[in-house]
Amino acid sequence: MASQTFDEFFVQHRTRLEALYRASGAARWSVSLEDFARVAWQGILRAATAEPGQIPQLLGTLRVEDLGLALGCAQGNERAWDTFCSAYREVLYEAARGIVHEEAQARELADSLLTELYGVDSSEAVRSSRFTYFHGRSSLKTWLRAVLYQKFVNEYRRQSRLVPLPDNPDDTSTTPGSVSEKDDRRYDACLSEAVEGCLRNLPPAEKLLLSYYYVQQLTLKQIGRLSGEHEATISRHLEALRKKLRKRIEGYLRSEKKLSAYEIDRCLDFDSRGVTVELDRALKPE
Amino acid sequence: MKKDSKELGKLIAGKLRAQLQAEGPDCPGVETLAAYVDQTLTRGERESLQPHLALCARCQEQVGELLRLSEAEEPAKVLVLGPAPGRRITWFRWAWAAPALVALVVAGLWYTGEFHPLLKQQEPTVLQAPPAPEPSKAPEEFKYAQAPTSPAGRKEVGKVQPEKKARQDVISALAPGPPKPSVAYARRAQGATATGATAENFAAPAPGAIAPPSERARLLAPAPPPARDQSAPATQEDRLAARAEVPPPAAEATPQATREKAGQQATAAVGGTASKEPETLGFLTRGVAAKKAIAPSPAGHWRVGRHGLIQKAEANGNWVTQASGVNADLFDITFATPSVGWAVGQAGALLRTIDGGKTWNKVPIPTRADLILVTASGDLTAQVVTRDGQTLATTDGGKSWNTPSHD
Repeated sequence: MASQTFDEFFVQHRTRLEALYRASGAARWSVSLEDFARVAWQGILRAATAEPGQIPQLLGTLRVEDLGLALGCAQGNERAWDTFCSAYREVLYEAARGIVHEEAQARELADSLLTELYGVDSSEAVRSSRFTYFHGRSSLKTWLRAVLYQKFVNEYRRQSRLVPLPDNPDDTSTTPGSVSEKDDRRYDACLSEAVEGCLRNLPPAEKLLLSYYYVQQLTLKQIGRLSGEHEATISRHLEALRKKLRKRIEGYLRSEKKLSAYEIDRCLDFDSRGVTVELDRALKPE
Repeated sequence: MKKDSKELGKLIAGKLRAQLQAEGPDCPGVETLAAYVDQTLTRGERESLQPHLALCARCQEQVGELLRLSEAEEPAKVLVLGPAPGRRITWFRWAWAAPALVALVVAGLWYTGEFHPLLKQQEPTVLQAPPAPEPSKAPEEFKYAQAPTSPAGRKEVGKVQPEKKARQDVISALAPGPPKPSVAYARRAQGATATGATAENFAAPAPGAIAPPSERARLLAPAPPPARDQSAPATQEDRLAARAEVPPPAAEATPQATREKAGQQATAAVGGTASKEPETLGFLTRGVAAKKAIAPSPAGHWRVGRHGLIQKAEANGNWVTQASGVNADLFDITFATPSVGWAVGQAGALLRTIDGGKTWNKVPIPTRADLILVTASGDLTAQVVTRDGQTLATTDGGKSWNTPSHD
């Protein structure tokens, strides 16, 4: 299906756009209906091209008040800027503190973004505000936080959540009671391969759930917020996923590695083996 | 078994991390990730995003960080007596409230003197309707209820019963009826800087004078009916309704003119155009988000609103925003003197200024309930009312708070 042009979109959805424009209060900031509609169109263009029938629904998801304010700021309306500052300056400072954890640096980060949002550029005659990248698909607050974090990652040193484990060869020694070091290494390799293979074959949604929980170390509540589910539901999903993964690992060890039931139990019996050998290498950053 | 799960979890984490790519060329834009966190993407968009997110370390980190930052902003869970704003109240939750409301209304009507024979015998001066409604002429009751402009005058006020008035305000706000002007707006019309709730209304009351009925009548008054015979109202209720119909005085005539009129007149006087904001009653009722409240005060015209908005009207009619330092919705604002003012809002948000509103400082208060009303009578004395009807008072500028005792 050929993609719609802006003019076609504007004519076809004018009534809805006018209602959204009124609801946004963009007129307070001297933003015209056409400007508002054009930015809304840019915001939903990609999704609308893929699913043209979803345009009314997409328009309904727009945060029109935030969009109106952002447009007013982008166009240089001072009252809009005053309103934005009074409502969001503290949000930026708090977010910066949450990212940087150091007051002076946080202030500097937030102030730098405020400058970009205001659009001050001494080298160009035309004001160019970062607000032009906001199209109302998300709340202005979340967007500001995302932009702030991206700015931090781009401009400051990257903060890795991975803490390198100390290189301590003593930790890799086998614990008393293991059969032999050679068997342990064999079991480790089998298990590592099984886990890697099973994870690779997981559907994206399940892999993402495991990543959020184990890699990003998000809480159940935080994960639930992404999917709109209660944390108890997420907990059940995770538990079911762990059980499913374990069964698949056992199946992989049985079918691919030809291990017996006893050997599979030994593979998964972490207490009696020096599993930390593999984990040390696996958890270090690339 | 649990320890095995923990170890397996570590192994899973390590393998997943190893499979993640640092970042990819097709990373979604910042706004898409923000919309993903806000859950404003369509189902199709989310499903098309998941394969990339499952393999991209950078995007996962960004999503995780956004969730952590948004969680850090959420206030701690507190016991709030009543549903949060915006929640829908299902019908069966009101089933128990209906008889309670009826009982409260009956009690209120009794208190107002509807059923009290002694009070009915007298015609308090304060309730007399003006001879002829003239928009520019301040009616007697407005002048009577007018707050003294100096703090000294306020000290001559009679005994304060703020908690009763505050509860009556809440009761009145809960009473069903047609849309009414903002409670804070109406209350300010009676006396913007009243001590407690409407101490001035109680101040040196004439024999039989009834301030609460005036307040309740104002709140419960329907839309102004066609012109009626003001010279001989048939009943006390008619007098109350008649007084409620009288338009507010001009801003220059009485400092305690109604907000809307005062704001418009002040703006018109200097040839400017004021920001037109809808004024609706309801921000005190449950389930309704905060609306702006305008307060003519010794420090000028002020208003508060969502996301910590505090604004002052300038002489040219523009509203100038003052930095509040908070992001909570603010519900009420008052000034006891030209220098000292208070603003209250969501989740225990309480601000005080001592420089006429140029700077606002947070004041700790031992409650996280929504503060919907604030009144002040001096530099150090103020009272706040929570959404569930509790009143807290301070006499030391907010350093300590207590519940006023019944007198």
